[in-house]
Amino acid sequence: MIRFIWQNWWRRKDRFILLLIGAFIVSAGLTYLIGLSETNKGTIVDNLQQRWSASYDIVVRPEGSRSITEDKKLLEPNYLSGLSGGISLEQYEAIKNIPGVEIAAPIAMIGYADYSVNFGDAQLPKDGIYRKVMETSVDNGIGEETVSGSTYFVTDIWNNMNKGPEYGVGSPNPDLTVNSFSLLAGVNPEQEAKLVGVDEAILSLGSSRYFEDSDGYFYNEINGGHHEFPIIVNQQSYVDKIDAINFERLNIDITEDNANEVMEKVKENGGEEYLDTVEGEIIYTFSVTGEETFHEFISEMTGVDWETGKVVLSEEEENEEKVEQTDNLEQDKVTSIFFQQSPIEYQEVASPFADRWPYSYQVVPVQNGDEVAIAYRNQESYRQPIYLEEEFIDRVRIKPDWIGFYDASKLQISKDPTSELPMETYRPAAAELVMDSDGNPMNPSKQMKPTGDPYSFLTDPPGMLTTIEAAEKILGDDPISAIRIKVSGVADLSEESQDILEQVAGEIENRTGLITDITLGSSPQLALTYIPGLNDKSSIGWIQQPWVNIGSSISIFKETKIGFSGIVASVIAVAIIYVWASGIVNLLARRKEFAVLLSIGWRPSQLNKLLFLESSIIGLFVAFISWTMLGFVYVSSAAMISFDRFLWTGLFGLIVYLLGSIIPMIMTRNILPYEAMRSGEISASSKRLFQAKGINRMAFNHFIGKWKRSLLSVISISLPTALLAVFLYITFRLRGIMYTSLLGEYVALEIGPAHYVAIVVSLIIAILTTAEIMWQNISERREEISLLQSLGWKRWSIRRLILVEGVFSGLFAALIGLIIALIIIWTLYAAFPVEEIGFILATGLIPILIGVIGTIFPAERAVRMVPNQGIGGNISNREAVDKRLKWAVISISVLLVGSFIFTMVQVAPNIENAKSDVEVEQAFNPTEGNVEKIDNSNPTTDGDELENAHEEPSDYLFEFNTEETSESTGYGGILFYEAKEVESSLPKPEAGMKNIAIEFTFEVRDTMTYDMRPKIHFSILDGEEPYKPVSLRVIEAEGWENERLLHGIHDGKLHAVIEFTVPDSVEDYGLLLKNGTVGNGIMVRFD
Amino acid sequence: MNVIACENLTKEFEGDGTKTVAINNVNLSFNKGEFTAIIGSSGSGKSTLLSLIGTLDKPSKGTITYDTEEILSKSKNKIADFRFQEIGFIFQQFHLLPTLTSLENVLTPLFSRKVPYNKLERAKEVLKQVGLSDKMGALPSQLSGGQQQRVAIARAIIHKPSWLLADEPTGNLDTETGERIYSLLKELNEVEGCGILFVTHDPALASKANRIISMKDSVVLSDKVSLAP
Repeated sequence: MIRFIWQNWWRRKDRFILLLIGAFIVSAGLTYLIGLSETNKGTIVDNLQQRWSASYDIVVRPEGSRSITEDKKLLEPNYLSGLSGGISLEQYEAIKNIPGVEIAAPIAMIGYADYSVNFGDAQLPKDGIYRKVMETSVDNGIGEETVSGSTYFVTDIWNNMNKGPEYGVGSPNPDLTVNSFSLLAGVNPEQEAKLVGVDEAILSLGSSRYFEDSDGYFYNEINGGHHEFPIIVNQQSYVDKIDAINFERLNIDITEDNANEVMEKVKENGGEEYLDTVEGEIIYTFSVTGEETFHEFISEMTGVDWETGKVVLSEEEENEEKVEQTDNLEQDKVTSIFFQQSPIEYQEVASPFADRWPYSYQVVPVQNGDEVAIAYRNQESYRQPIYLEEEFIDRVRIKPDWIGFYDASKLQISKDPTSELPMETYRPAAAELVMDSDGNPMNPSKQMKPTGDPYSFLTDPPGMLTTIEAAEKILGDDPISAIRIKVSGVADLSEESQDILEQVAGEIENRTGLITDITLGSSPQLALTYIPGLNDKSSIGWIQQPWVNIGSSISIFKETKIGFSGIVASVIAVAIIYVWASGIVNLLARRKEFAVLLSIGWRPSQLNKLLFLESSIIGLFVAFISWTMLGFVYVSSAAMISFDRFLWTGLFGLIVYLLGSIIPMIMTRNILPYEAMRSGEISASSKRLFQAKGINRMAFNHFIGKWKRSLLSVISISLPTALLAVFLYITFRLRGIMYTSLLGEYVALEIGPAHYVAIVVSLIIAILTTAEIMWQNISERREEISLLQSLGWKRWSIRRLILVEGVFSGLFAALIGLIIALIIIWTLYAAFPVEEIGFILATGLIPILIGVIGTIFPAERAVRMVPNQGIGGNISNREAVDKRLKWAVISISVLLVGSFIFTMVQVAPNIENAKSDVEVEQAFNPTEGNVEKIDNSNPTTDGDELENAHEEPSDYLFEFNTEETSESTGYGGILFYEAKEVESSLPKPEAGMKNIAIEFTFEVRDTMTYDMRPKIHFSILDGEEPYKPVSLRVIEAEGWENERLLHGIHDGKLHAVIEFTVPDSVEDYGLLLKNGTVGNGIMVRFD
Repeated sequence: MNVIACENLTKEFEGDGTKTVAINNVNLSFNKGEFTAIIGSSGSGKSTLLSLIGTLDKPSKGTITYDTEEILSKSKNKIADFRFQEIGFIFQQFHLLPTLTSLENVLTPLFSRKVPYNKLERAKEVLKQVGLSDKMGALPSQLSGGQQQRVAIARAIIHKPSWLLADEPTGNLDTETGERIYSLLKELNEVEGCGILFVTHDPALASKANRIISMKDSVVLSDKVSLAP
């Protein structure tokens, strides 16, 4: 029997090749879609969950801690590090008791604690005046930032007791002490361990350990009082810096004998200012990197050497004598916390490359006044300096008990650097400088690094952890900045999870009045931020940072799932239809043969067996090809393929072909042996609708006449068409969500190609189906075509007759396909695609094309028919032909399999790559489309923030005269602003000065929020000379949050009198309002 | 099986609203060993009669009994078995399977059938019997019409049927070749003793048969037993 089947195939090579091609395409398609594509429904879920999961589901924050970026559902990276308290312990306890809350991990950002490491003393000659130059160079990723300062001291040869600063020298300090800052945060040790496993990340080094119950807080009254509490330190909490300490011996002769004399002279010459001018000779240099400092610190604290792990003698033991001499504070390692963390203020700007970065912001620098710490006084900074206590002298003194060290990289948080959610507490924010201030791309881009400055743009996450208890003692009530919540029963990204979380979040809001955000299903989102230069320095440029796009995943997820399952199902449906169609065609072609077999005594069941065997052989062949290809890909690309999937990929092909044999088997029942007797009739049965007047109508009659099989080819073309249209629609719709987040890009990249491959596979299969059916039609009409030829039809007319039939198939397929597509779209989205109707209709051209392509070969065959050709004419057994065909078949097979495997091997690693290197890939997939555009009509957003020089009058956002208001400038629709000079209420200033009082009204007329701190933002400009206000009297204020933010949505309005003291000579001046929100400022001229 | 008896046999074809009567009330019986020709013009119903007798089709009315057995009321597989056992068919267009060689074509009735003899030996034997021992490996397309028909005859007799039914066996052949086929059938009738029933529109050929049934317009016109040898 098998031999019979084989002969039957082998001696009908044209059909056999068609069959093989079909089998190859089906197996290749199935291999790709089922076996290889990573985007199977199950794996999408797994992938997304694994790769885009944060360690917490909900974050609870104090009211008012939302920044303007959250209007767009965007959270800046490491937003937690910028929050200051606001949540009380009672509220925390309440949250903990809410049902469903599995973990509630509070975090209380306390402030920047410093730690110092003493590397001993410099060995200096006994007599001399020394300049101690301390220089800290920090690599911020773009360049080095160097800060240096110098102090002077005289060695013990001069008694400096009771000598004031007028001498320009301090007490001798030859010590080599290096200071570093680190953000200190209070956590609940138990909850933090549950959330991210800090306890597991503790380094096993000497005495290093995690918090224990016995670790308590203690307030020590000695020396003005200080806090004592346990701290664990992140082993990576250091910046890339080099601390250098140089001792220069000044070229001033000084000995024990003339010391007093010399110093009096120094004092006379101007003290420190004089010493600055004196040259010196460097006689001792010391430098140490931040890393070395930190390792030394760890060694000191754990008593174990960082490098070797050996126990070392501590400094104290070694230098026992010296320690006793130093004062108490030094000995007890009392340090302090002065600076507190503060958030960055962002302002929306129009993205310079909205395609690439739909979201763009600029940092609004803070102009500091006189009242701040010396380092920031009258300077600009990226963050507003905030202090735990008003005065430095009152700074919080702490005596940390350094109990242990942890390795943040060992925490149980997602570690994939390309897909990490930048919302984890312990990860530094990534920032990449991608464009300079002129918008020229940086190639290569530079990774920015934190500088250790608490108020610089990039800050580190907390590097030291203590307990919430300690935080409360230091900060007072409401110490907690945020609570990260993990909810039980939430395992996957699904709507059920979303519902549970919404319920828990609602409960938290109800019970505590705090604000909550559901972070499950967030995706990283690249945003662009413009970093202006500070203090008249030029801008750094544009940096790209992964932000958190809250809650964007679930919708992407859903649509992807629908899309992909649909596509795979359709390919399978099309494959089955193809197999059926070819089975039916095969049967039709052999109908007479079967009738003969029946008439010579074959049982009908034998025919069924024959058909089943044939299908099984092709099915096994398909399975075998699939397995071979998968195996080859597996071996050559090291892609992981699970055994189940491997097995199913092959079995699937087999099952499709076995199912495909059912219809022909049913159809054999209708074959009567009697048919063997009939012969020579043209088109036994045929329906007709129109009178055959021309070629087109004739073709149409043929098409309708064989309506059953025509329907088959119509369906097989229309299914992929429908899916193509639906898929395009989904893609189009999704684009808005897709390309606004990294997750979306990932999905688009990973799933997009698979979709297209699927559709292309289905369309090729559809072409085959059509070709196969037309082939059969033509075989059956052989006599008719021969007749037409002998009647004198031109070849082209015959070709046209066949092709037109293909066009009809295509037309009907297009019609049916589009109707199916619209129905699917309607059921999925309950919307008629009005906007996209154009391209959906355009997809209707594809089936027509396919109908034509499918009929080209049959048409050519028809044209070549010779009028007197006999039935068995094209079957030959000649050796040469046989051999040639054998080779042709073999080489075609090898070529097909080879090229497919080659593509697979090429594609498979890319599938892997795409996962690990989303960033690289997306460079070729620029974002586009309907992202949330920042309103360009808003003058504040298209302000040219690249220009820094506000001295140029033309550079102001707008300006007007005091007689006018903003309404005469064209900005009246956005804001109302007027300023008039009024009588000053200030007392008469000193001679040569005068007071100017200006009454102004600033009213927001749109929904913008303006940064409005009049004492900082207003200035009087006399030429280029600025004068800052001395007083402010508010007459009326509305929507002015914390006397700082004027909210348009709350009808923000400020009506106040602002007063300046300026020299008498100031006559014509301008009042400049300049803050982060109004770009280069608004100028009101008083001439 | 010795006797085939047709009683009140009627066959109608229905299609597109028209009803065609192919055979109308035919009563005939055939005995094994007879050499019968059915003659008539095109459309007289002779081929239909042959297909009914050969169990290829079912009558609209009337019965055919084979040694008192009414085979046609049985299942399709049973009918097929009967056909295999008792009847060999020869067609005007020969109907060889184009993809198979002569030997394979002869073997086709035996596929997945259990027979008490060696299939291959038997196939070679019958091919020898029809004089085509040298053409065993040839495809139908490589054979002449006469040779093809001889292969078809070999195929028909491989299982030693009691009856050979031939539908215009010489219709597609020239006179000389036709003669040769005819004598082959005659020989089979005499040597193997199987009943032969053949349809023709050639009176000259028909006249050589023992019994001549002539048909016209769906009915049997005459049923003569010829005295010719």
